[in-house]
Amino acid sequence: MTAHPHATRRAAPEGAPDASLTATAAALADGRLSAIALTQDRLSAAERSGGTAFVRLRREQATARAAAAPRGPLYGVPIAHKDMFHRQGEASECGSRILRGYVAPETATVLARLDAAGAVDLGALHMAEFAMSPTGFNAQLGHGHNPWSAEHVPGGSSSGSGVAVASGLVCAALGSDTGGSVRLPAAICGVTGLKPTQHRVSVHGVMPLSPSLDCVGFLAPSARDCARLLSVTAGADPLDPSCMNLPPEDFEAGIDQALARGTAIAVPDLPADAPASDEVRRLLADAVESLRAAGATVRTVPLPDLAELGALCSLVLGAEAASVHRRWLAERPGDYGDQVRRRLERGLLYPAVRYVDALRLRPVLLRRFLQACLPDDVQALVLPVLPHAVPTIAETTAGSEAEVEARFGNFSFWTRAINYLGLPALALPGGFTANGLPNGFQLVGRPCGEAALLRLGHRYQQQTDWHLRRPA
Amino acid sequence: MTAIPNSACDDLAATSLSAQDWCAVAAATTGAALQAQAQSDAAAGAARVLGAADRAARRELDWNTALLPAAAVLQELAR
Repeated sequence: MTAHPHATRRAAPEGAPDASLTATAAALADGRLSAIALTQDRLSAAERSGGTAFVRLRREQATARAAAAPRGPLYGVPIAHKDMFHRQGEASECGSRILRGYVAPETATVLARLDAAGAVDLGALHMAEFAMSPTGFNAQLGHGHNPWSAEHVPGGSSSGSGVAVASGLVCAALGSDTGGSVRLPAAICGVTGLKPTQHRVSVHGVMPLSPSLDCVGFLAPSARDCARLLSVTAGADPLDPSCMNLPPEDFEAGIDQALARGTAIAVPDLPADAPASDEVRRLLADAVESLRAAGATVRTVPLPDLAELGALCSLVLGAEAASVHRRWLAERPGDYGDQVRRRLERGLLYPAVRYVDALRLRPVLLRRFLQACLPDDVQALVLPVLPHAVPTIAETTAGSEAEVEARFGNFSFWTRAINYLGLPALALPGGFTANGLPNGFQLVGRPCGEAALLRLGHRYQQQTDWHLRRPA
Repeated sequence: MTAIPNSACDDLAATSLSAQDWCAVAAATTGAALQAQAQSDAAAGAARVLGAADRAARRELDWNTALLPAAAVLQELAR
């Protein structure tokens, strides 16, 4: 395991003890930081950065907002959103040419809730075209670049979200996760990423990719930060009837307490042919040891058939995405990037009966998965996020379309099965590979088991400092 | 229509329609024909996905398996 030669601890805004969302919020709340000064500082940093974080800054709106933000739990905290979250009267282009110039008619519920908590939204972030690449590839906007090394991929599809948080431009970013699109850029950029349980956070006002799998998620420096973000955004929404009606929960409560006696994690027995490099296996083993040191007991379980679950995810995603895009595929096929159009066209070939079968299988396979890997007394299953070290852009784009697509499939092997099951997952920075790039792992929880995941993640981050490293 | 290798399309063909037929269905669905190479790639990719999904369906599903809302299932299984 090698730390990047230029890695430093995360730089904090002046007045804040560290760069985390919660520390910054505390400094803003007690007046050590000015919301207006912080907003202007971060906007200027974003303009200077020259990277691939933002596609549009909300300079005037954010500055005005900072002056009038409500004194909630996120008062004055700079955030940003993947460019698929609607804000009424503002552009929302989904990284695409198809939606260039589209002005949203309403504000996404999750953005409205962050506004109500006092957050200051600095703007819209780079993303894969229609959220359809796990690497950060975008034929329309250009490829995203990893802030640790511009030659390497930033992960996707919430590529700008990972870049903006890792670069310290914002304290948190909204992403969406349909097959790994929060967890991949989080692990690849060295930040923390939470994909909540499906239907726990409203998707109203969010451009759909696959409504049965889409999940709003968060990227932030730490697990505690993700806990606060989930606390202010989760819950029933009359504008999203699919959203669970659960009572409000404070996910930060008790997060500092030691793990309860008997807290157990499950670790899969990875066969030699499982798609995980030696480096990834070593980092995973290190993470398990840190969790053990934090007080968790470790239980070995067989590796479930993630390839099969992943195929079911691809079937559901393909059919639903083709339905969402059907009219544009017919009327404006030339306005898609070739790779995205081809992947969407595949969805047209799935018979309706097989799609319904895949949906009928979900509860059956979910129950079996829980029985095997997450029985009642186990809080989390530990899995890799990426099968290997972060690749270069050239390594992921070389070869034929079929080869590129096969590589994409491998890239999200460890993540997309979890979307099919609808389970929550927390991606945590877990060290560095020999190429100097960050890597991470995920804790997968039981349905609505976010509190346990966040507590485990926080305890892990008390044992390690990977989440405090940032590119120099 | 471009000929598509049968080996890539077994699962599609097994449903009694050929891959070319499926591409025609897809074209009728969108009102626009797929390009020849796209037909071939899409059919091969779809066949791979359908093959794995079909193994699970044959093993797990019977006529009595209900189609349930995901949110209700997840909420029921939350402890």
